[in-house]
Amino acid sequence: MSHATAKPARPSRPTLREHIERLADPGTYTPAQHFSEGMDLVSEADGGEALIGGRPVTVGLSGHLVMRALNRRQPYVAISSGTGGLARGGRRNLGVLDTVWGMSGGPMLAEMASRRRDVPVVSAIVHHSFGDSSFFTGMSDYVVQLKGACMALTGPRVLAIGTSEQVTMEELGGVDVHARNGQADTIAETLDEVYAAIRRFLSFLPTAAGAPLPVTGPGPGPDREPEPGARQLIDGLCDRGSFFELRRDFAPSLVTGLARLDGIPVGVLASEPAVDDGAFSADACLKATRLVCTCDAFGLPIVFGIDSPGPRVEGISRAMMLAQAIQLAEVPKCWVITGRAHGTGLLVTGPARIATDLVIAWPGARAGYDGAGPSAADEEHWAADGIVSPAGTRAALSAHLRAVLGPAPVSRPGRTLCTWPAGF
Amino acid sequence: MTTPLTDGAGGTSSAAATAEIPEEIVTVERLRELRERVTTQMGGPEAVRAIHAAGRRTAREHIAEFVDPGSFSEVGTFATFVDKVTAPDPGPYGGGIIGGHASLDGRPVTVAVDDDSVTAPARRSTGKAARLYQMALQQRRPYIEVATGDAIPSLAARPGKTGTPSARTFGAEPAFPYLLERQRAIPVVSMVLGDTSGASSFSAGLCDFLVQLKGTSLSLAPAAANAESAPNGAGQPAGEVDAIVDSPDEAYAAARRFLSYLPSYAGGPLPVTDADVPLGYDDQIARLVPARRSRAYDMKAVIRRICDEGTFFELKPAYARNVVTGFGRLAGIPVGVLANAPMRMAGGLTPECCLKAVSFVCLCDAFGIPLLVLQDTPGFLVSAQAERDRAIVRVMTLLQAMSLITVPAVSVVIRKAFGLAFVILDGNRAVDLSLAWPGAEIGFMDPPVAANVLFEPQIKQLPEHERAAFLAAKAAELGVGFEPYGVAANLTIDEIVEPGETRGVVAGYLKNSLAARPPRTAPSPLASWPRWY
Repeated sequence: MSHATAKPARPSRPTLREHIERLADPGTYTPAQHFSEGMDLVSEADGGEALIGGRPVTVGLSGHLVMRALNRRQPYVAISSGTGGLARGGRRNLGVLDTVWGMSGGPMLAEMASRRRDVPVVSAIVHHSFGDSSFFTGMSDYVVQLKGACMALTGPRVLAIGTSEQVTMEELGGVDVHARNGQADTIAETLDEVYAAIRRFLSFLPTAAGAPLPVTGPGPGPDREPEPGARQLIDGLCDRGSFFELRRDFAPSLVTGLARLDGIPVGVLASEPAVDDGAFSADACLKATRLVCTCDAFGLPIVFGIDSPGPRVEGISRAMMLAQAIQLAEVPKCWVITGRAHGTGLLVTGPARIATDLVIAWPGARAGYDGAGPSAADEEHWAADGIVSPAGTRAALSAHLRAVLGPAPVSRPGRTLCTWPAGF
Repeated sequence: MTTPLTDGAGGTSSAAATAEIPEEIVTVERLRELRERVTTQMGGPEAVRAIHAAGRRTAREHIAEFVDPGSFSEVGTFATFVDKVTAPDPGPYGGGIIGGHASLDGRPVTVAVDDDSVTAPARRSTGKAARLYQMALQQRRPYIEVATGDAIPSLAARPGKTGTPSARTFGAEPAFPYLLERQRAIPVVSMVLGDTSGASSFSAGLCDFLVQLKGTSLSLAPAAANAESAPNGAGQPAGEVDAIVDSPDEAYAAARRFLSYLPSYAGGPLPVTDADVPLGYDDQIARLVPARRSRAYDMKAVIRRICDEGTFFELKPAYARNVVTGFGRLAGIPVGVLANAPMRMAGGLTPECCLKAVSFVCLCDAFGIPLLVLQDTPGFLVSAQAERDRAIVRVMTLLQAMSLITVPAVSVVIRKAFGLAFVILDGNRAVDLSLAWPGAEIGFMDPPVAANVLFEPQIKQLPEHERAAFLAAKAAELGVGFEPYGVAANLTIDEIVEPGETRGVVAGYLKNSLAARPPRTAPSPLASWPRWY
């Protein structure tokens, strides 16, 4: 790895150390000291180890030290360096061709590209990010972007020179761009929000695939009953205040995020009938697939809330991609059919359901293709394990998850989806 | 409606009672008679007439035209509907799908064709497609599904709105879950020869090769209920379709051609043809590539000369044309070719190009087909639009795919390769053999752009009229370092080869590499990736 330093462009810009000290538990940061990583010597300028919520993580600049985190089987957080690849390799040894490899973070990217999601990887875009640190986001499990920071393959300057396109940082890769295309999971207004979001995201995940699930004691229950409507449903099912939404402004007909259900961390996906009738657009399929893969890789159960006319995509393959992901996911999956479950076969598995799955339907829910399918009361035609009232749904889910996870839940990652692309 | 089989039961006893004809002959004749009626009448004589009147083929005629003559051996001729919701009355026979085993160019395959002489919802209600798919899987042979659409409007209508099978019957298609988790164990081909939706469309989204008849539509929900979905055969070519054809005969030919490059099952022996093809020096190929770096040329012409003559078969030719993907043969060995196409945007890579490339790399890797990468690209095309189109994720997904390949792979830099594009197309150093032509430029960034970026402070201090010359000089300086001898010196490139010897070198490498490789024991991780995302 290189010896690039996080030299601040402006006096107010935090150094890497300051970022880590604000992100991590107080007093826990230990900078890396002349540690050999591959053929390079790393130093404290590259990052180091700290605790977040009492659990160890490695934090590095733009992907530095990621191999350390993979070897130690602990989460990794990349802080964007604020420089493109040029500063790392391009300026040294111009014309010597190992700069191709060095510049594009070759070994680091190779390690990341073939990882099987052993450990959670987070990217924080807190400075303008081009080259390495942007590449890194494309393979991360979670990306948080600070308002005002630009995330793009390359910067406006190279664009202006190479293609004559004149754009501002905001237009090229500002938070509006990546909120809408889903490449940022969270948009943060302030640095403190960035740190809080990272801590929050990691709090739901095991430190590594196969490690214990971070189950907390029974938290405060919801302060409302679940109702139709994605967020009302989620708030009515999950522990109070536990819902951590991901990719909010991308494909809003589907609401996704992480939450706790009776202390158990879960991935939640709920169709939002108020937006496009709750249909699964191509983007919604991408949004859902990313979360299903993340949950399966880290052993988190998945809860689906369905009131949807089904997929509404051009062509067919993107809907099939989501169906494939759901089918291949090996973690416990629970469906709550609150209204329509049309296109049922795609979104709710049938005969191939595994024993840890649960399908419950509210009275009046209907399944089928076109709205004319049988209602939940007509039980014969349903795969539902039971008809449950809205008020009883949380208890049913919790009892099921407790039963299938056992008393000391360990994350049991699936075998297949961990090799799927990290980004969708 | 065909006479139910049970109606004929009395025939046996009455024949036995006369004792004139031996019983076994009677039963055989009865089978013949029934089979004749079932196979010719299908959903009813009127339906068959209507199909012919529309200038179309029945399902059995499709099969007869498609497979090797006389090779079709039918399975499930007497299947009838079992779903009382979808089809309360039994019959007609065939179960809505006509299928069985056959051979294509002498190799075994299993086919399943929608029977459009029966109502649309009835076609997928017997589980026959699932049975045929499982047989294909068990016998490790390609499975081909044909969606015919609706020849007869009255049959396309859904009877009584009750036709929607429930969650229990898994959206009407019992083959569906098997296809979802198939992980490309056997090749699956999907032919869309009519407007297709619902259960008949599922395999199109999960297959290895999707061929669609021009002017037909393909969507999950019927077009009427899904107004937004454009008929992608007629409008903008959709990337998920591998070949768009003008007639059913062309569709058959495309499927036949596609399968000719694939093993019968993942991990099976590659269909290597007689290797008696010339591999000597090609003194013509170098002329196809202009030395001047900005000059466009036809990469497909280069591919055709590197491959055995007449073997190149392009996939998705109309989509993201800055990259070319397709199969060819080298010394008879099937190869997947992934190449930049400088004719189009100088060969620069867009997010769609990445998608096309990923889809192709997964296909090759799943079936053990060696990969040949031909590079000539200024890099990823950067723009605000590309960023909005998720360039970062698309590019990184290609990097992931290239990093996970398990097949023998050879990369050749024909002219230009810069930065991350080079790192990725060179398989992130996962390719077995990395070659460059002597005129190749390889570096961290296209030299004119790099000079501009690196020397910006100096440029600013120069008077306007001196800038161009300064830049040109700096670009030339950088360019010297970009000659392939630099990368060959530190083994980033394994060898610099003459254009004329490329074909021989690659073929030689592939022969040895296939001979040396142990048979695959586990599926490639890329085999589980979605066909399109």
